This record gives sequence, structure tokens and C-alpha cells, in this order.
Amino acid sequence: MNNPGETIDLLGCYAAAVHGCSMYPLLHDRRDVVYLEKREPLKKYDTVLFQRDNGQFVLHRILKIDGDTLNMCGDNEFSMERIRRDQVLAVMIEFTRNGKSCSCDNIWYKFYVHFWCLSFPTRRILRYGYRTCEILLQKLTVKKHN
Amino acid sequence: MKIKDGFILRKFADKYLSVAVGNAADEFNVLITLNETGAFVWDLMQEDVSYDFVIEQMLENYEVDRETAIRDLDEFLEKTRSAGLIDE
Repeated sequence: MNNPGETIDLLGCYAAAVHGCSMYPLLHDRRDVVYLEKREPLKKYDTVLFQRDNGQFVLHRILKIDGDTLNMCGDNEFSMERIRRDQVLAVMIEFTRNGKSCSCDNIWYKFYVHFWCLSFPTRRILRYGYRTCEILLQKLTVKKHN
Repeated sequence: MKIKDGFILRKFADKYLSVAVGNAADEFNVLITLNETGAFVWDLMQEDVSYDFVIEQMLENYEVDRETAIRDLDEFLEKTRSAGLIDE
């Protein structure tokens, strides 16, 4: 069985290998496994599995809770996605990282989460700076060839 | 007989869950739920073991008679075989 929605309704929990790089550097594509549980209340910085209106299942972190609206972002992403609370299926409780298991209550994990989320604006500026440099360098190279 | 490589078995929320990782994650996009005996057999079958060895281990570790152990193991093997999880 592998419809996350149905499985969570049936078991109250879910586990899956991570697909994609949106939660890098915490979770690596196909190497790491996440363990989730249906749980309330949702908290800021929780990593949750939600379903987009197009049916796609996504695992991202809550950066802000605004009533029934949640601002979501992957650890490796820079644009926020606003979703409704009722789209959330389950909350990540544990994960295995390179074969080693870790609870989301672990102090070092919490430290990582706070550091990573607080550095979000800085990382975004650095990324834009990096991108701008890339574009400028590309133009420079094109000019050289001409 | 042996469970194919690439699965991680773990107890979570009072359930035994097994998930494929790495290359196996592409082939087996499933979540396998096991009971305690199932998890015990799954663990044994991480190595290439014989049917009789698994039965002996079940009898040694659980208070079951041979008949029940055989029935349980057959059921386990039928399900895992049909899902393509076993290397013979």
C-alpha cells in the first residue's frame, strides 16, 4: 500500500524514503527515511507532509502559522508556499539520516532547525548575490567570445 | 531465501515499518507493515537462510507450536514473494 493519505487514515502513521532535494541538507534523496504521525497541534518549524491541490504529496517545513494558513518552505528552497491547515496529513517525528535514526526532539536537531530557519533571509540574499554574479559572468563570457 | 537488499526496518509508533531506500526505492515504492513475528522473520531473512532454520528460530523464540509457526511463515512468505521482496 502506498497512498500516504489512505495509509495515515488507516495506521495513524507513515514512513517513506525521501524523494527529491528540497529538504537538503537535512534529508538526502532516496537515502533517508522519514517517520510521520498524525498529530495536533501543529507548531512552527515542524516538518509536515501535505497534499497540494493538484494531488502531489510534499514534505516541507512550516515557517509561519497564520490562523488556518501555513507558510511552507523546504530547507533547500527560497520561495514560500502558502497552504491551508487541512492539507496537512502528518508531522515528521523521527527520521533516519544515512542509516542513523534521529528524533525531532533531539537537541542538536532543534539547534539545526533554529539556525537554518533564522539564517533563511541571509541565505536568500547570498543566493541572489551568487545568481547575479553568475549572470554577470555569463555576460562577460559572451562578450569575450564576440 | 533472503529479503532483497535496500530495506530499512524500524519500530515506530508501536508498529514495525519497512521502507526501501537507495536504488530499491525506485523499484519498491511501498510501505511494509509487519507484526512482531513478521519483523523477527524479516530480521532473520536479512541473511540467506533456509525455511527450516526460520521455523526452528520461531519455535525457540516464541511460544508457538510447529503447526502455527509453519502456517505463519507460509503466510509471510506468500505475501512477501508475491510482492517480489525475496531472493530465493
